[in-house]
Amino acid sequence: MKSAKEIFDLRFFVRLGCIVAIILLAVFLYNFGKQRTLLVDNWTTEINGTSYRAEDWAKVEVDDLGTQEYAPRMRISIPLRGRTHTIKITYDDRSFNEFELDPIEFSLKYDTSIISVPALVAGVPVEDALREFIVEPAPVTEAEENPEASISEFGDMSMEI
Amino acid sequence: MDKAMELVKSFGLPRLIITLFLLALFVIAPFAGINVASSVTDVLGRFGQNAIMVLAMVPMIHSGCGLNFGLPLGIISGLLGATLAIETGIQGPVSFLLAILYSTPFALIFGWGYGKLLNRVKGSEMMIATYVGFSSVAFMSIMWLILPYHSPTMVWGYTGQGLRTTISTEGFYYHILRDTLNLRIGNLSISFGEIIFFALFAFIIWAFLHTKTGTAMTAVGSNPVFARASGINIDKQRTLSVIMSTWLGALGILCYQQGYGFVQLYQGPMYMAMPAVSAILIGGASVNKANITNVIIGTILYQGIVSMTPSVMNSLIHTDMSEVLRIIVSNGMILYALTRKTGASR
Amino acid sequence: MKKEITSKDVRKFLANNIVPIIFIVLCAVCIPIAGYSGQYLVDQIITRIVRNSFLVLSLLIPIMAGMGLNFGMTLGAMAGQIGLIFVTSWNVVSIPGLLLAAIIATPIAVLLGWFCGKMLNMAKGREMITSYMISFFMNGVYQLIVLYGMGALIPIHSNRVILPRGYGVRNTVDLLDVRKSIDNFWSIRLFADENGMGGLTIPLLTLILIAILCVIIIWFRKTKIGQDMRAVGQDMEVAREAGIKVERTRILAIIISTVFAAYGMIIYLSNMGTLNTYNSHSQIGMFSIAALLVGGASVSKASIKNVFLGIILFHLMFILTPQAGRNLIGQAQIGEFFRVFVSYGVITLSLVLYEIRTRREKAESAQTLAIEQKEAQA
Repeated sequence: MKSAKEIFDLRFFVRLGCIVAIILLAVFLYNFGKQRTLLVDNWTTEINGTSYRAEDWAKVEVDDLGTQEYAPRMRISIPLRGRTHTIKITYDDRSFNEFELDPIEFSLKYDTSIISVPALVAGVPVEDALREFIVEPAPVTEAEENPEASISEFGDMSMEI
Repeated sequence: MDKAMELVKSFGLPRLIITLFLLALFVIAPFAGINVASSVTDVLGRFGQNAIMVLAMVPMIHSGCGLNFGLPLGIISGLLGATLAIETGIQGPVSFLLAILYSTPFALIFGWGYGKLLNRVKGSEMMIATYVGFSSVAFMSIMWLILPYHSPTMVWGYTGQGLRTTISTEGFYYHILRDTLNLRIGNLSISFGEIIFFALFAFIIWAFLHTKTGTAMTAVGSNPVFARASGINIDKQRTLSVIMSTWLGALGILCYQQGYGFVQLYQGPMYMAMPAVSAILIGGASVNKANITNVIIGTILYQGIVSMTPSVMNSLIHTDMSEVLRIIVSNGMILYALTRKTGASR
Repeated sequence: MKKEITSKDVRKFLANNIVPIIFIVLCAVCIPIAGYSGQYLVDQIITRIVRNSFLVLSLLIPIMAGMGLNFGMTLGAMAGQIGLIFVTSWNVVSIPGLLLAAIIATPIAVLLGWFCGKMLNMAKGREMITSYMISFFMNGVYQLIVLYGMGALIPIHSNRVILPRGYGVRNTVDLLDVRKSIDNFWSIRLFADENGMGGLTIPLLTLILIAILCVIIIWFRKTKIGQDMRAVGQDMEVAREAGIKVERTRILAIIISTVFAAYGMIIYLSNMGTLNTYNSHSQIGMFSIAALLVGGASVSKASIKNVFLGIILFHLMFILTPQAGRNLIGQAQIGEFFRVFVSYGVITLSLVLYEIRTRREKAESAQTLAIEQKEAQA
């Protein structure tokens, strides 16, 4: 039998440290690399019983990914990586005076979220303006109706390598 | 208790598990709404179709060439015989005899060359056999495209060149053995034609192994040094065994086609050695020991599992995991045989 | 006298390098028939090198340890695919995604490699056929896990990965978010026209990764464990008497190979951009082995030079033959069957030649020994 001292020697701790470091790296990579989709939406929406009319014109920049101009009934999907993001909105009133909102910080909880521009402009807190968006599942091909059929014991002979 | 353990050991644990599993399937089957009689018919039909291909393993194991992973070579000879027989256009039972007749010279020539090759690579026969099988199938894929066949039942209709991937044996030798001496009791139908056909060849092999040449062959496999000392020409014995295996492979595929109803060309024969190898191992054979009993038990167990698992599984849990289970069981069995400590290293 | 030796040398050189020579001739014949432009071919070959060299390199270490061609590298490919399935379902993209996939794949590959090594230790002398059967056996286990376990027992929920029935991974998983992320991270374009289009794209980062692996393999040969492996590869019994833990060393060789194969598969699939869940891994072992053998390697001897020469020649043949078949006979199908035949045939030929050569060498050394003994007696 090995004594406790022999088991918990320097080598053990170095190995333990390596494993912990790799797990930490994995967690970091997961957070850093996870991509979520944000739909920036300029439709007339109803949040908590109040209706917000679509902006006639708006300019939106999420993080530093470039600005986009929005007309009513426009929705643009932006892939985002990382934890916290900022959104900058510029809009105008009927006499074409431009106003800029203070940058709003938010974080994404869902794989796909939708954020309403008119609601933010009207001063709705970002927690309410940002909601989960349920994506229609991708269409199923005929082969996927019956995946058992695609099992091959030795692989097929297709030579696409 | 010790006696029971001894019995289990002599029977082989994996074989015991598989037998119990198959028995369990047959016990569950009626409760899952499956007709046992038709299941038995199915298993017996598959036995008749496949048994000769499993039998083709025996000579090579006896002479110490290991498991015949090169079975596709024999199958190729059978396919050549089958296509030539269909090409003649002669229908009915005669076509089956013709197919056997035509495939024989190919099997003898291929087997001879294959045997000569294996004599030069003693010690790693199995790996090379596998790839000889694959290469011959791939080579014949090209040949099926360019050989000058004309029979409209076999050639692609719109180009008039190259053989179809599957050719029906309907009208030629479809169910030629299965429908002879067929005993029907309700749903149960036993084809004595197939069974007698297999028994005939099994008997020939058994008898052969008890002749002088046969015992010499066994000696080559079990103790090459002794065999050489007693003046046996090792290479000759090995070549003979390989020719026999190849010819049985050709016969086996013809027998398979008459039951299955189709001649499968191109990549069809690629992996056909694996079920046969796995069946004889399930039957209790090892890399250097096999007999006719192993063939019979192994084929029944293997084909039993292949035909019973899908139906029982499907009706019980509505998911068809059977194919995956079959892959694990049959390849696991080969792996088990290869990693057993007993047996010469080859 | 001198002339005789040279002609013998030439014959020996031809005999030892017959496979690469056949391939060079084959490619030389096919290039004009296929009629592809030189630039296209070079571009294709660069792509193939980037895609496959990591996989082929993973075969070197078991050869060094005398375990032959590791058909069990498929196990590593499976581990890599499992890593990619997780990463895609979590939607971790780009290089972090690939790194995370590698981190997930590593323990799986180590476990599979350990299993494979244990098995191969039980089947000494027939490692190749055994590793071949292990890859088929594990393919069944992989399908059991991926088709019935994932989504049901293993929590994966993304509907990009999981079938609508709630369990089982789709036939094809789209790797668009990680596609070519290593290649595009740092690449340069040569011979481009004025618009910066056309020409050859050289993915520097991937090439650097491959170079690092080559250096690691060269360095590894010189370490203690690498020396042990070579000793085990030379003669197991002598190595055991010298105090080397033979079984452990062999298992280690397979584990290293499996882990590299997992990384290789991740690089390969990220370059391809789609994962065929139930098929991608199954043929990869055969192609990698065929490529290595085409490069002039044998069952007991392989170098980095063989890897790259092999990939270039083998893939050149792969690109050329369908087109050559179409131009020559009017049927691409023949070319496709032909390359399948060549892939299998080249493995067969190499294995046979190797066996014959070893037997001849054994006989020769026995002969010289006998002559020496006779001389000593006289």
